[in-house]
Amino acid sequence: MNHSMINAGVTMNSLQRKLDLIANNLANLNTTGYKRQDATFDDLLTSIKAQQNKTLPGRLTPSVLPIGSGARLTGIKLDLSEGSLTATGNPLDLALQGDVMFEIGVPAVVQGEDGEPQIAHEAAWTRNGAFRLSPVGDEDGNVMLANASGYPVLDVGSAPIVVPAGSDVTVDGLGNVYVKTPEQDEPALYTTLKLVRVTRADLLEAKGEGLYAYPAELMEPAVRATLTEEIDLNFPGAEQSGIAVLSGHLEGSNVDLITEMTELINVQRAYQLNARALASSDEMMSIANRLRG
Amino acid sequence: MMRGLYAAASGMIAQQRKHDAATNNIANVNTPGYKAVNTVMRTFPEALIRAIRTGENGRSAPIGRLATGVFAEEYLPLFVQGDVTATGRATDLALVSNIRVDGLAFDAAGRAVTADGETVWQPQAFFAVANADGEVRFTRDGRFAVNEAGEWVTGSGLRLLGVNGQPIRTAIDPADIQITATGLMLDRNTGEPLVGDDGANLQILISVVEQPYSLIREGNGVFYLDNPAGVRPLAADEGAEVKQGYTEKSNVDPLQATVDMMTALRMYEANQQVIQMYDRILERTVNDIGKLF
Repeated sequence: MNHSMINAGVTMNSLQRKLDLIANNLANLNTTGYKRQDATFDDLLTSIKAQQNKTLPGRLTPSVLPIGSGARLTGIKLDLSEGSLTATGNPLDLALQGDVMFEIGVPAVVQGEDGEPQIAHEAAWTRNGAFRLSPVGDEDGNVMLANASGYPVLDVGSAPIVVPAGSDVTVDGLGNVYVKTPEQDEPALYTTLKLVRVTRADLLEAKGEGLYAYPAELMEPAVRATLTEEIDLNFPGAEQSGIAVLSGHLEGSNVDLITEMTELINVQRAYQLNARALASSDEMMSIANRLRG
Repeated sequence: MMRGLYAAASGMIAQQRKHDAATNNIANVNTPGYKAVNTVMRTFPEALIRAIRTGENGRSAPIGRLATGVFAEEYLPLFVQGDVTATGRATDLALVSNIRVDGLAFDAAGRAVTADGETVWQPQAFFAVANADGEVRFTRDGRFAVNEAGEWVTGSGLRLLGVNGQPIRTAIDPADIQITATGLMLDRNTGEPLVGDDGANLQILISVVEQPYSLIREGNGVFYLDNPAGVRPLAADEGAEVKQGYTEKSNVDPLQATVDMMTALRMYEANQQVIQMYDRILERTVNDIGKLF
């Protein structure tokens, strides 16, 4: 019997999860390159009660009674719209215009060909361009371009950008990296940043630390190639795409406080309504229990 | 014996069903494309009651007609349009459905009366989606995601169908797809129509269900038809259109749902009181009639 109570309970659980999502968005109001998450609800599977096959006159629906059982949270998606830009003046703070991302190599221990564990770089994408030079740890004291977590930023050849210590690194609007080593007088073109455009944004997963990637089975190089496009701004005609790398700027979070607060109020009221429904079904059970005075 | 005792019990069960429906409406105040349900009650068939051996020549004399209870016969979905809100996502589609039928003027509830006095319900437009078994389902929840194969799927993985009856499959980034009011898919950059695997233009199938009350709710935002004869593709200029970047919100009125819930609770309580009343009468009958001391 007690559909109402199950219904309200299940739905409160779903609303709680939506509340968690909103709280996470609000917590990242000031996180560089953060993309807000959004979710929606779906009504839950209906149990269909058979009724006697004879349809009485005046009845409009077929002779079954479909009883719903609440709502669940579904369709958790990233909102990849752009955040606002802030000027920082630091030449290694990079912001992206247009729907592309930087590729970062996340170190992971994998089984090598000789059976020995070795460190490989798994690709992940980010809009957080707060980069810095971080020591590679080799004998020459070389440094590499890395993100705030210390993971290497990859170039068009999917390799870390390693430069001698003491070099000046600058990036132009096309993503070209210029390096001026202490021995050189003029900066020279060193490499180009890898800019990736994901074509199945709905499948992206947040990996934490501002990194996003497809689920592991879609990150296999052959599959990944079909679901992403590499953008090289040095190709003629690329300037029409509206994509650019802005040095000295950072992209803020795309969380809009007003939207989130409105959503919060909405979810909180829905939660209250369901709590009322739960209390009401509890009252009904109490009434049934009091049948014998 | 005590006929009213059973009538009151059936009343409690029917009010419980009404409460379940109101709770489910409350649970789905935030579910896109959800259609509120109303509970329709019906009295038990009437019976003619006669008094035995009180008429002429000892024959039974009629007392009158009596219906001995009530039951919740059907849950009537309310197919009125939900509010359409902007989300800005290229894969969010809302259907605005106001299908015109020659010679009929529908009221706000989608009802019209013909010259013959017959009540006609307004046909409704739906997206057609296919489940894992390839069966066609109908939905107004247009929050789609594009999976790795390029298919447009609902939150529960049902695939959106095109006018050729096959799932829609797009290769390019969904953000670059523009969808016209008739469901035709265009490349936003070139303005050219997208073509499917069979070489024909990709167009979303919009199905018109002639008698919306013949739809059975399945859960997960979809309905199905036992008899697929009452469905046809949308004709041109019929009064339904696709809006890209919008979703249709639930058409549940939280106030109405709360009032329904409170009414059901109090009616349940009233029926319980009647049962207690009968219990007291029976107690008198058993314990007090013929009591000497």
